[in-house]
Parts: sequence; structure tokens; C-alpha cells
Amino acid sequence: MPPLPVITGLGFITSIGHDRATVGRSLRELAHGFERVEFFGNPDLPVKVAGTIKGFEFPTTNWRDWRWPEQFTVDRELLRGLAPHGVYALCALQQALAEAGLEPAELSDGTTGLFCASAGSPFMLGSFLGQMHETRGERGNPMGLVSSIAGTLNFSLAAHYRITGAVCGFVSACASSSHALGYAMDEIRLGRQQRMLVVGAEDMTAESIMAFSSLRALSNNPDPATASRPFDRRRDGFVGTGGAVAVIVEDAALARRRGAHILAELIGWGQAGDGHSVTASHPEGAGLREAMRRTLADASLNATDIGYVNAHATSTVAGDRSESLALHAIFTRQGAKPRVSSTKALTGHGLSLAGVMEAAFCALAIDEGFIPGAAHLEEPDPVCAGLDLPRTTLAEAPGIVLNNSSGFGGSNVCHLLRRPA
Amino acid sequence: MLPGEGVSATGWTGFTPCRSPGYFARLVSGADHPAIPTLTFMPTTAISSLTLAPVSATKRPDSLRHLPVHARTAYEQFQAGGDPAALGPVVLAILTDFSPRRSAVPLGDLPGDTQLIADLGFDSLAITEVVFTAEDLFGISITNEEIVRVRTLADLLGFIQVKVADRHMA
Repeated sequence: MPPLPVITGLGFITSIGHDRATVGRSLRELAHGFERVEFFGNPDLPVKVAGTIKGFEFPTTNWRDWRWPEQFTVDRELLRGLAPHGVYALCALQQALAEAGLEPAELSDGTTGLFCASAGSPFMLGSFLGQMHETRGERGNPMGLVSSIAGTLNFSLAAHYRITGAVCGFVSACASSSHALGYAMDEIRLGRQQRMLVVGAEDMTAESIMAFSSLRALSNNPDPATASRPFDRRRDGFVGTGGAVAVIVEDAALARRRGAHILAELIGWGQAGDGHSVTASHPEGAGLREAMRRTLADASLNATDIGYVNAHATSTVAGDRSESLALHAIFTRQGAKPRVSSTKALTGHGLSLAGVMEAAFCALAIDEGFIPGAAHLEEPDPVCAGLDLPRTTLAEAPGIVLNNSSGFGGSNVCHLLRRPA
Repeated sequence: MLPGEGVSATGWTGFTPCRSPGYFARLVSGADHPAIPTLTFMPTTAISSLTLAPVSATKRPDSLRHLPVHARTAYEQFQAGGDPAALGPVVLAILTDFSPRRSAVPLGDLPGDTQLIADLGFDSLAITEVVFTAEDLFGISITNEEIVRVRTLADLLGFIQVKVADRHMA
């Protein structure tokens, strides 16, 4: 029997909770994680809301000023080389390893790999480069590079956990951690690794989020209760967030030998490019449609087999419309009507973190038997007519779940998850 | 006792012999703390005889902000009159700030031949961070070749003292 990747551990540092129980409750009760914020100390900015990461403080780029909730342990030696999202990631990975029943010492024998995704830290990089400019290149924080550039997550976590298996970072913007999870599945399926740690994370800083304001991609709605409303006719952009999610992926045979609890099986994945625009999604969702088709084919499934779709839908006007059209092409036209919701209505858009965060939500929903509702949806966009968008969380097993992600350049990635047999 | 307060003079010329294997691990864990004698560091004549000019180099405001009060006071003394006696507490405070592990024993109470890497857990980048901070605060310049020769607590303090003296002589 070929290796089957399964999920045995989850860790969350998100706007809707820092542990599995809180996240599960937030998804069930549709409790969002948004707060009013003032970026750059500028009250005149139109962006007023973000998915804040409670209990963590990063007031400066100096790690001595950073704070995190007392239940987490962050080694001083490691801290020097981390960005804020590295701190989130470490806390999330500690949770995931604990849930999977794994000790750090078990990760160093070469059978465990680590795939990560983040955009790096504009917050740290800006400070580092500012210092170099100020000193005309004569000074630079020795840890400035590794704590800031894309790859900082895998550099730090691989060294800290002494990972000697496959180590890689993925950079495809908002599809990054979906790529990380998909290729982690392949590492298991190809027999290259027996276990993969998959971590997605992003800073929750003005530097990371307000950059998207330049693209006119952020919501200007000042009300935390309605700023993120995917598929709603009045949506006006996404709400940014950061945080970290860690997922432990193992070969099912190994997980069963260890007696680990299997939350969900990862039974397929696929990807396709739009071939269209550097920033905008294809107007008819062509790439996402093809990614979904390839993913179903990877698992030898039909559209009618899917019970729930965790949509990428970020609450942008164009993006949600593209995804709706892609969903119609794959499902509605085949007579299939899975439940559809976007949990970004609660969390905000986690950028590189989004894909693995939502895969983790899917695993949680499968393990606990519920379907997250389409929060904040009051007036569905007419383009959504025919899609099943439940307004409340449903206490029903989601069946086979499809998780969608899309990133800059029209990079589209999907995963399929199901309850273990 | 705050970090650095065990240094009573300006030099690191009086060293205790190396201890038994595992000594420093126990030292850092605090297991041997009660038995550790307080060291007295003899003045380094070549340095203490000089009156050093205040540093004029531009300093980042962050360099001192996280150091303990006694180190900031010592630094102000150094800045005001070039007092070489102030160097030791400041350097030890910088070292403590960058130390990867919290030592149960103030670094100023350790023997001068305590190895930065082997005994205190520093890595080369952490030593570089210490050196860069010292460069900023004392207006000196240290090359990569010089950095790699710094192995012990005494190496570091003595080296910075010499550099500061050289800057003054120049």
C-alpha cells in the first residue's frame, strides 16, 4: 500500500485563537478576530481593521522589547534570529508537536522534513536596510539578514529542531503555504520522508499589511463586524492578519504504529497557473478551476464527492467573483452542491499563512464534525447564486473537503482532506 | 549583584586557573555558585594611565537602552571624561545582554579565561553582535580577523581596551 499522508498535529497562533480549543470554538460560534487598529500611527489612513494576534507585542525590531503569552517558551538564543512571525511559528509548532505526541529529539534522524512559507519580514528588513543606509554600509545587525528575508522561517526552525530531512521554503504569495503542504504530501507519497512539519506564518505589522493598501486590495470598512465579508455584495477588500499555523504530516502507517490520533487524511492536491496577471485573478477563475479539476483527478474523485469547500475568497470584489465562477464551473455545472464558506471572514487574510491555516481548519472540522459557516454574509453577490453558502456553522460532518488558495501571478493550489477510514 | 558589578578595576590581568571538566556548566546552572570566590581584577597600567577622549562617533540610541543602570552610568563616565575604568562594566553588560543563556553567576564573577563559545554558549554571530555594539559605543573599528581571535572574557575586554587606547593615541 503506498504511503498516505495524514495529519496528526495542529498548532495555531491566529487572530481567532492560540490553541485548538479556542480556534474550534471561534469557528463554531463564528467569532471573528478583528480589532480596530491604527497603522503607522496615522489616524487618517482609511484602513482601520486587522486580524490582530492577541497577547503578542512587537513594538520595535529589537527582540528585547518583544512579548508573548506566558504559556509559550521562546529560547533567548533563538530569538535573536527571528522575525515576529518566527515567534508565532515557534509557538504554533510547539503546540502541533505536543498534539502529535512528538518530542523535538525525534525530529533529527533524517526521516522528518520541514517545509515553511512566509513572505519574510518587511518589518525587520526595513530596519536592517535602514541601518545599512544610515551607516553607508559600515554597520549591519549580524542577524539582520536571516531574521528578515523570505526563508527566515525554515532557516530558524530547521536549525533549532536539528532537522536533517528535506528543508525548504515556498514563496508564491497567498498560495505559499498551500504549496508547502502539497509538496509535503508528495514527500510522504514518494517515500522520501516519513514525516513533514509544515509551517506557515506572517508578521502582523503595518509593513506587511499596508503594502496591500497600495494595491487597493484592503477593506476600508471601519467596522470589525463587517469589514471581511467574502461573497457579500458589499465587500470592499480584504482584512489583513498574521500569525502562524503548524501542521504535522506523517505517513499513515507510521502514525498508526505510534498510536497517534489521525485528524484527517490528505488524499490529493493540485495546482495550476492563471497565465493572466501579476496581481489580479483570472476574471473567470480559469487557473483555480483547473487546479480544482487536477486535484479531484489526483484523488480519482468527482465533484459530487465533495461535501465542503473552504474557499480562498478574501473579500475582494474581483477575487471572490473569479472563485465563484470557478466553483460554478467545477460543481454547479456537474450538478454538485457542496457547502462553501471562507473562514477569512473570521480570521482575515493571512497571506502566505492562509493556505495551511485553512487546511488546518478543515482538519479540525473533519475531526470534530462541523462545517464553518459563511460569516458576515448578508447579501450574497448575485454571482454566487446556486452556491450553498451556509450562514451559520453546521453541526454536520463535512465529508470530503476541498481547500482552495490563490496567490499573486495567478498561482492556484488546492488540497483534498477526508476523515480517516 | 547586577551583571558586571564584580569587576572592581579596569583590567583582566589577574586570572584564576582553569577548573575541572563540567565546571562551567555547573557554574552557569548555579550549582557551584556558593563556592565561587569573587575575583579581583588588577588594573592594567597601560590602559589606566591614559586619559581617554570621549567618543564622538554617532551612536544608535538602541545600543544602551537595554543595559542595566550601572552600565549606562559607567558609559556616561567614559563619555564625559574617557574614564577607562568604565569600560569593564559596559563590556560585561553588553556581553550579558547578548548571552544566549541566562547565567546564574554574573559574568564579572567568572574567571577571565572563561571561553565565550565553549563555556558560555556564544556562537560566532553573537560575538560579532557584541563587537558591533562595542564599536558603536566606543568609536572603535574591529576587523573580522581580529574578531576571530577573541576567545575568552579577558580577550574581549583587553582587546577593546587596547582598541580604545589606540584610538586615543591616534
